Amino acid sequence: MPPAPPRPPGADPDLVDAFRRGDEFAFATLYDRHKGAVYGYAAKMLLSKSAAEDIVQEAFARAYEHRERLVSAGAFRSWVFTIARNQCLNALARADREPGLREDAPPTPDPGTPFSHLLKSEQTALVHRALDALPPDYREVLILREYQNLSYDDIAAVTRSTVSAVKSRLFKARRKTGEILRPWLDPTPAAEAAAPAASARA
Amino acid sequence: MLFPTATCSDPDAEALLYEYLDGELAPAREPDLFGHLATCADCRRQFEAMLAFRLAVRQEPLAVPPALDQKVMARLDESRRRTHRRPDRRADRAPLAGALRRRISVGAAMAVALVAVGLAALVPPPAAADEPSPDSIRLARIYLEDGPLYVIEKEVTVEADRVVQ
Repeated sequence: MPPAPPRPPGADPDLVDAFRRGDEFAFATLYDRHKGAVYGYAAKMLLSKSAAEDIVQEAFARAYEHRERLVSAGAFRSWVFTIARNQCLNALARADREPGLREDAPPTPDPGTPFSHLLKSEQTALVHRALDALPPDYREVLILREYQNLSYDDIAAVTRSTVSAVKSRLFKARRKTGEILRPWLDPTPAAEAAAPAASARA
Repeated sequence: MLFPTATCSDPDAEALLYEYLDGELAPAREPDLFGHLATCADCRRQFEAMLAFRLAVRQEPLAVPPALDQKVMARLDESRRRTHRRPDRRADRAPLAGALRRRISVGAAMAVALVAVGLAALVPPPAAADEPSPDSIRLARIYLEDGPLYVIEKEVTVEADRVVQ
């Protein structure tokens, strides 16, 4: 068996070890390295950037306070993601109980305009609508695949499910997303007629 | 079924399409997918929708706001101060508790207790009557030849009836 390649300097395990020995700058480096992924995940899961900021604060504060619970120094990223994921699922459950906590969705453009002609903000609004139409477990796999670029195996590890379950959820999430976006991709009279129905279901 | 609206009547072909988009389709299956796409307008439209979605996702700005960095660092500072101020009592107790659990068996503890009881039985009880008790620090009696008996307490002195000695 060939020897394992040497770790690059400043890899996560080295930083975690240094942090456990009391090096606070090591944790700041870990935060800088992973904050974007955690923020992006939370912002799309909750469809709210302000709520995502709370999730990032909480996730990294818990990681800082409970550093002794991280068994493997190489698993820092997935550990912080797991903390953030639990926070997001709790926040979604709270939002279900208290609909007033939900932020208003941005307005979507008219269905007659082709997708490629839309402003970026309008395209973002359509993405928002598509994600909002998905149940959390379907939305999650789509976010992890499209925003975080994780493989099926990694998504299964983060969501604590199987690869076949990930594929199944991704399949249904994409089918629904395509159904919502289609009126803007194929702005024919038939597609425009279908748009109000898709909007009503979303 | 959660989403009843179908795009293509062949779900296997649609699954191939998604695996291709994710870079997980085996090269040997690609001719099957491309052959299907050549004849299925629904799958072509779905393919276009997924590419448009991915493009919009890639273009969306999702940078962490600089103010968030400051909030997180302030939160970590607060956590650090809290941790340093609060002693970890559980950790302090743990070595002692662990030592007791590990090093003293039940039999040894019983033997120590028996020896202590035996030693206590051998020692004669103290002469209680004339020994000053801790309370005597507060209470003193002064007996005069023919005068009254004074009972003196801390900050209080009273004249009492004389008792027969």
